Amino acid sequence: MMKKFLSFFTDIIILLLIVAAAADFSAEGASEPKLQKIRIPDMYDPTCLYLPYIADSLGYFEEEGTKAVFTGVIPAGQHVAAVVAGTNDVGAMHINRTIVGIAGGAKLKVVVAEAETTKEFPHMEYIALETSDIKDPNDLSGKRVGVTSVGGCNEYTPYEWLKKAVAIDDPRGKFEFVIVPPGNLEVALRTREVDVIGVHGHPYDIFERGGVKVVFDDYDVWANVGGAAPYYFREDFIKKNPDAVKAFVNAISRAAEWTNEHQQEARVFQAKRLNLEPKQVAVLYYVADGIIKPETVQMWADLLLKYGEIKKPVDISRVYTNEFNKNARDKAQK
Amino acid sequence: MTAKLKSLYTKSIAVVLFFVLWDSLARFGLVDTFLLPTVTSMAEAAWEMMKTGELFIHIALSLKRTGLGFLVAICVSVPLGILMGWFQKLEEYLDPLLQIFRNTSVLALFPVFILVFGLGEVSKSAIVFWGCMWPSLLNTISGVKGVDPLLIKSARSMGISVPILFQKVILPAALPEIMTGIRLSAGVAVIILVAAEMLGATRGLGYFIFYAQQKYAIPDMYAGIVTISILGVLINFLLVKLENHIAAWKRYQV
Repeated sequence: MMKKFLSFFTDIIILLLIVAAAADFSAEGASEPKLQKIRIPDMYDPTCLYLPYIADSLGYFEEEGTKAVFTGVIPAGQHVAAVVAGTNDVGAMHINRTIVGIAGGAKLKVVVAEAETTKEFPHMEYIALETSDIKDPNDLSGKRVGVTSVGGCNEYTPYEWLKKAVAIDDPRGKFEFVIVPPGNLEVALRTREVDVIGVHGHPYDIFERGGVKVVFDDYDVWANVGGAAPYYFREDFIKKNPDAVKAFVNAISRAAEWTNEHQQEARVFQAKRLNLEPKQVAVLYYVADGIIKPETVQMWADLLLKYGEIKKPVDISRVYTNEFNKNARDKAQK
Repeated sequence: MTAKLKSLYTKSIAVVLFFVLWDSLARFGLVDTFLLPTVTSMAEAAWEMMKTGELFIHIALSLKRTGLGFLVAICVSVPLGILMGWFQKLEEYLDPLLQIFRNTSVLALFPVFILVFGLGEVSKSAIVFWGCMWPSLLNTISGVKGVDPLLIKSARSMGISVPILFQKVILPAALPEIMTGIRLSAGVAVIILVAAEMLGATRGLGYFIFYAQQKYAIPDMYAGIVTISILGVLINFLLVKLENHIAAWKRYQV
């Protein structure tokens, strides 16, 4: 009896699959003209506003002549690998990872800017308990700093903060880094396993639970230059689909401009999409024209070289280009 | 001699073919070398780290952490398993709890480990301990429970005391299964190492792999991964040798 039921059940499933596949196929055939798809990863941190969601919600991708396909969450450290492997066409995350990837042989090109550090919206904050005695860079020496990984902004932001205030050649070893798995930073801080934690963006939830303060952020160290997190494509994708790349760049810069003017609505868009409360979505400041500033790339290329994360200097013209950005072309013509 | 050669061939051919396949995939551009480097560039990276001694520092620390966690786990799980296998009531009471523990992911328990053990060396060994406990515990229980009752009854009818019964009958009979459990635990120990060394480490093979991945130092990362595999194979090999040694002793006894 059971066996019969099971086989009936599988028959139904197979039938459904065939119908679904056929429906999918016919739908694809019907849409004319066919837009070039761009596969975009979903946001790994749902509480941080993601411009592709906004551009998608506003219909900017179709308006510009491309189609966004969201492919699921990818951990920050795997974005470059996912794009190189061809499972995604676009990657994001902080520029230092992209530079390291390109220096390591990934054939990528950065094409459009996203968020950037402002005084109000820093890329990274370093947080201590309110009772902590850490006030200026001198107090950092001998302390334990919890971060989710070393290298890149996690590691070099406190180094440069220390260097800025204290005249030392090499800030390495003046304090201790402790690797804490993602999601466990707050526990580590509150159990006093570490004295300071480095987090990306402003952790509203930690502050809501209280008892913590910001010791410094990346704006204190580099002003606007430090926190750029632009989008990049695989080079062969760019070669094959330059128009799709242009469309993506336009859609993102328009979404950036719109978000800066409509923060509240942008929050609602993302909250609806990911089933959150709008107040849970953190909004940053976005580069309205999408133009990548050379200094934001150069600074990280220099830092990565200085601290030995990359072995040879990287020519930053290999890392980024503004040639797909209409705003940059307009500017150049003026 | 030829027999030896033949056995060497049988044992190594699959491994050699695997590495040849891997290398040619990367070498002939079938996959991007950024994602999968050639075997030679991985070996080069490993050689560089051996020359600077860096690799051995990582290996030594990792062995210390896993060794400690593993040994403590065995010292707890084997006696506990014998007790639970012998006193069936005890097993009935404890088994549901143990099943829950066994099926709880180590990774998901990170906050608990931080809370209880902090971020130091203890928590890393504690994670290995946690992962190692279950295979050897469950195998020991089933090994002791599975001893032929006829053997026990006949030993008892000869008026044997309980300690001697354990020493002469139960342990030797349960030993093969206990050893299998220990080997499984050792395998788990090496695998869990990577997870354990994500917790507040700045050295060790697990940390090194994680760090190389973050830096996109892909040949280094594979060098670390293969080193862990080799360590695991070596440890298993040693345990099999030990098992054969003990099993030989058992054969003479029976």
